[in-house]
Amino acid sequence: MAHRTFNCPVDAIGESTVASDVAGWDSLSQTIFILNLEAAFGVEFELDRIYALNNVGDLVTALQARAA
Amino acid sequence: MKPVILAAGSCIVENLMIGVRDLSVGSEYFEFVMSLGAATGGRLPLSASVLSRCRLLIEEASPWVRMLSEDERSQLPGDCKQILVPTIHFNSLWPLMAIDPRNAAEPNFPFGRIPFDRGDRLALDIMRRETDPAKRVATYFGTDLSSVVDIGRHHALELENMFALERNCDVRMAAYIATNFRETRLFHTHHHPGPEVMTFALMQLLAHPAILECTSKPLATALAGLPAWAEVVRANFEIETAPIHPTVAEFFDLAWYRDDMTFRSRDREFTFKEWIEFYFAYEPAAGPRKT
Repeated sequence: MAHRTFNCPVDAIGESTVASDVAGWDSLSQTIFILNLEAAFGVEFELDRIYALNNVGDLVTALQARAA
Repeated sequence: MKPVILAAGSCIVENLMIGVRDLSVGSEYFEFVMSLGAATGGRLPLSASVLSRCRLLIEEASPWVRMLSEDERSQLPGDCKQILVPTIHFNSLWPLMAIDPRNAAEPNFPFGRIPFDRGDRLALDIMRRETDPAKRVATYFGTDLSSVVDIGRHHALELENMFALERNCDVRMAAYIATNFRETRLFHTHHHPGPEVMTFALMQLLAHPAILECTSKPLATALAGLPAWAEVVRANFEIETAPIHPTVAEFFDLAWYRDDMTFRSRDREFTFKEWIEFYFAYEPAAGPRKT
C-alpha cells in the first residue's frame, strides 16, 4: 500500500523508514496513506497520536493496536 | 565578510526571507543566503564560509524533506540563532490529488510536466478500469465522491497535521487557516498559500526577537511595507491555482467558490470539468506542457 501511494519501490519501505527517506512521501500522499490504511483495516487512528509516530514501524504498531 | 542570515526551505521560506530582507533587516550589514530546492533534490550544498558566518537560520520544519545535511548543520556556529517556520500545506481542498506515476521529474521539469504537478486519483482509477476513453469523463462525474474519500475525515487529519507541524515552531498559522479558509481563498494550491496567509506569517517573523536584533527599523515601518510585498507574493504563487472538485467546495460551503470559476496553470485556464477532460486526454510523454 505504501509503495503504491508514494510511487516508490517496495523495498524502499521498512520499519525504520521515515517520511524524508521517500521522495513521494509528502503531505498530500501521507494523508491518503493514512486514509487507505484506515479503510483497508477498518480502524481509525487516534488523531492526537497519529502525527507523533516516528516511523513506519511505529505506524504498524499503532495499526495493530487499533485493529486488536 | 558580513554575517549571514540563511533561509533553508521551500519557495514559501524564500518569499518570507525576501520580506525580512526588504522590509526590515536590509542588506547593509548582513548577507542573505537562500538554500532552496531540497524537495526536488536540486539544492546546492552550502559552503563552509556561509555556514561559519551564519548568525541566524530561518528554517522550514518539514517531516518530509531534510533542509540541511547533518554535516552542514554541524558547521553552524554555536551561537547561531534559529527560527523555525512550519511547512505550510493545506490539503483539505484537494483530497483527490495524488502522485501521477506517469509524471516523471526531468531536468527542466523538476515537478514533471503535468499541470498542477499532480494527478487526480479518482481519474487515475477510472483510467485503469474504464477501457473506453469516451466514457471516462461521464464515469468521473457520475461517481459519488463519498465512495472515494471521506472528506470530513480527510479534513480532520489535515487539521491535526497542521497543528502538529507547527507545535515546535516560532511561526504558527494553523488556527488562522482553520478559521478562515471557508470565507477567504487562502491557498492557490495545496502548497502555495495566498497573500493573507503569507502576510500573517511574515508579521510573526518581523516581530520575532531574533529578527528585531538584526534591524534598526521600527516594526511599524516594516509592517507598512507588507501590502506591496504581499502583492508580489500573490503574483509569484498565483501562476497555478489548483482545481477544486465541486463536491469538496459544497462540503465546506466555500463562500468564494463559484461553479463556473476557472483554475490556472501558467497560461491556461480550466473550469473543473475542463480540467478533468484535459487530464483524461493528457499524455505525459507527448512533449513539454503548454506553459
